[in-house]
Amino acid sequence: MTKFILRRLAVSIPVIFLVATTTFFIMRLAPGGPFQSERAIPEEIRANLEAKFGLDQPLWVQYGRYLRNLLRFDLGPSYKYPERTVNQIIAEGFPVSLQLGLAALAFALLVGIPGGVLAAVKHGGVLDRLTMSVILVGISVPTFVLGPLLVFVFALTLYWFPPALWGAPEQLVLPAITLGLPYSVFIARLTRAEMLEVLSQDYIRTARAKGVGEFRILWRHALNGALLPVVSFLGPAVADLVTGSIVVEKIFAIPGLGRYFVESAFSRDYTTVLGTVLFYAVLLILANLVVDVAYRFLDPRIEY
Amino acid sequence: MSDMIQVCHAGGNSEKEGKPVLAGCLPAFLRWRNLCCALALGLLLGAAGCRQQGEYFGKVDPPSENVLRFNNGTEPEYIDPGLMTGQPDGRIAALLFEGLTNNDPRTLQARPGVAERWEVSPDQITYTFYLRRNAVWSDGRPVTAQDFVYSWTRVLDPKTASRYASQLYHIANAEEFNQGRLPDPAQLGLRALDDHTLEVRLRHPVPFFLYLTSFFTLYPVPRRAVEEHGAHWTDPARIVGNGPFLLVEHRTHDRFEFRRNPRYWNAAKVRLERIIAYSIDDNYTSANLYESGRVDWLPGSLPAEYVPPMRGRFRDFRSDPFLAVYYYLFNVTRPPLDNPLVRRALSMALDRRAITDELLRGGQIPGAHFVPIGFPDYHSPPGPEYNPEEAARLLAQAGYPDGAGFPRLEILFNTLESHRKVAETIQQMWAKTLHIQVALRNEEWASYLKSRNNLEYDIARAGWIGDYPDPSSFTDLMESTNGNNNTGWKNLAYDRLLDVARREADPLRRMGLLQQSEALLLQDLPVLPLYTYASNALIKPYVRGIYATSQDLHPLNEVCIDRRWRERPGEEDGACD
Repeated sequence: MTKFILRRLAVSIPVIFLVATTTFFIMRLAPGGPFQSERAIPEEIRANLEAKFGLDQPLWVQYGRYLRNLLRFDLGPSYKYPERTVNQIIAEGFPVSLQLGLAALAFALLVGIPGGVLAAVKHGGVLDRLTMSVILVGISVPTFVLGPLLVFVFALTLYWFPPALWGAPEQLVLPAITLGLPYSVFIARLTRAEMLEVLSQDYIRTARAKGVGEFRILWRHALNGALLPVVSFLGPAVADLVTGSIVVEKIFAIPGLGRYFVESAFSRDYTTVLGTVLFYAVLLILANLVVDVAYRFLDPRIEY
Repeated sequence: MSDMIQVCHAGGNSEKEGKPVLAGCLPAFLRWRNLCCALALGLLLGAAGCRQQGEYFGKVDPPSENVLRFNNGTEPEYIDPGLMTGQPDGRIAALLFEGLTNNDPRTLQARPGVAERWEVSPDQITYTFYLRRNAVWSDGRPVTAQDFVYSWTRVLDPKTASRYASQLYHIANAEEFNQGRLPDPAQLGLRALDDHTLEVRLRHPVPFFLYLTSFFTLYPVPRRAVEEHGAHWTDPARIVGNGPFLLVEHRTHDRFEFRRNPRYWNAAKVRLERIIAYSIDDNYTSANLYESGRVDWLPGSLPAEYVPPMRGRFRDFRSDPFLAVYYYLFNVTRPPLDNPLVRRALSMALDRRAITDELLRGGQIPGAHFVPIGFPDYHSPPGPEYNPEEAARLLAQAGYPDGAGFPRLEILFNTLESHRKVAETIQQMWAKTLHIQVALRNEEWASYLKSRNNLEYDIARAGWIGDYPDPSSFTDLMESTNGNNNTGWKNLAYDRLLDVARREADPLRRMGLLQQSEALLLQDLPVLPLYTYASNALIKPYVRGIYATSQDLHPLNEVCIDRRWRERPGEEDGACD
């Protein structure tokens, strides 16, 4: 197992290097630069500004310096917010995104797994159909509709929750539901499908024949097997939830990391684009690794 | 970014169950759908019905503390006043720092700030500022004349690379020093006569100089902190200021928190204990927070489509013109736009009132003149107003009768829904009146700026907010050497007029010269002015002391929360106790 983890980590180093290189050069192809502004500034000032951030050097020199700093985990100053470093931006934004992502994930699992199990157990019944109908709605409603709808009903009409902002626990509720609902829907569908298959297996029939209680069958015997695909879905889902929440962050004014992916590209904030992309890459690699390890615990038959 | 699509396939292994999931739940879904729809609709309608019946938008409960909460819009790029350029940045700096002068909250007239008085030489070239002795930094050190010499020299130092250094170009030798032609800062027109006397020598009379000294680029910065912490001196734990408030907390893309600065020389007049400035760039979210009573003031950040229904409906909605112009640029280096007749025809074919009153409906004031409405001592000469017959005649005279043979031009704008709408309307107006076709081209901000600067366009959208309450803030733009001219238009007579105006010490004659220059601009028309902007704001009725001003600038020093506002509604100011 240790060997497996080490091998995976070793393979990921060239991957990260490739991501850094591709992002670095693709970004420079976009027209304009970080210090372009509507108000014209004298050429001398622009030159000084570029010199201040080393942008006057040839591209390969800049690239070399970037990689050197990267080895020291120094992502450089943000060009858009020069009083802050990219490390600071990630350190501030990531815990927020993480909290939001985990809350959304908890919601997705708490709703998705029981929903899926219920639908599978009552296969063909009213509950199954109800769950599947809700799922259909859940898949069809995009975040940018669901978010404002929840705000409208729960924040501006019933006044149960604040419509936006970050910091208090009650401010987490609406964004977590908005972000988590589509995931809960997928989890419910996955669980239901797998559960149905597992429940028709021989070992379940054997257990039933031996007189094991229905609850115990579901909990101990069936769910374990049925959750495997859910776990493999969780890897990318966690990374996606944590960094891909830009729409939810915008609707609820949450100071997470998601916005930087889009905004820093528009403002040609080269260092922030690179920093966040690399951070996301590392996160994805780690999430997938954790999933593969978890797989092994859930299903000892899997070999590496 | 999202890998939702793969997940969708992974989850869709419904063959295992024998029948597809979708088909299996469809009948049930249909039956349930009716009920769900009815429920949702009822909830929505009921909710909509019981909302917004009052004369104010949303909740109006004053906060329990003496705190003002407002949305400052996008996250400021800088907190350092010497380096900042944006309006949100400026609102933050105005709380933390104070210049030699500050602004009267109603009129924006310069009032004594750090300087308690000043003298101006008869030729209006030399200003002597006498600094008050009780002006101190938040670390207790006095604010001295040397602090101003240091701060202004720092902004002008080419190595600082401040983008707004040109705000100081009125000072003798400043431009030369900033552009590296004069290496010695001692030659700047700046001198600390003693700790509390500052002498400033200008390069020519500047009638609005006392306004400039209240502008953020000219705020003093704390030398020790800047030199000790470099770019990070503005972190809340390190920052030292001299303004009415202190920075307590800053969370990027979230909020700034301030509390009253007890050391501020005029602290007795500051009535708010705390200020929270949110950095929310989404206008819908911003409006939601106001509606739910969590924010007391929204300067600007309102969705454009909220404005028309709010006008005249809610008492807490305010719409005021301010000194900013929305206009189009003509690339006069490209035919047929090199022909003034064509430019005049294009301008006269536009019904600007239809654009502002029917399309935008946000309180904008239509006008074919370049200097916006709102200067008390200045009246723009008439511009080429709407006249379709004359427009068609001019186009024919230029060699394109009924639009025949007119090349297909392009309107360039940066990506924004309202810019698109305006461009589409103009496209239709030209097609209808002049029978010419133009295409639309939108580019995201950085690409648009590049195209504009490099004259890679035919017609481009532009907007300009005045930096100081003087028409020259607009007329200067079109000077042939100005970096914001962006049209390729060069007119020596225009440049000469501006130059003469700059040397003119008599205010009335100066305004006359500026008028002449604008008349010349409107004769030649390298630009196509459309309207004067309006600032639309929501402000809770219990907030006192925020007034409509021509610069959309609102000093918060004397703002207060009136808990007994219901007993005296409709008053903007007045005591809060």
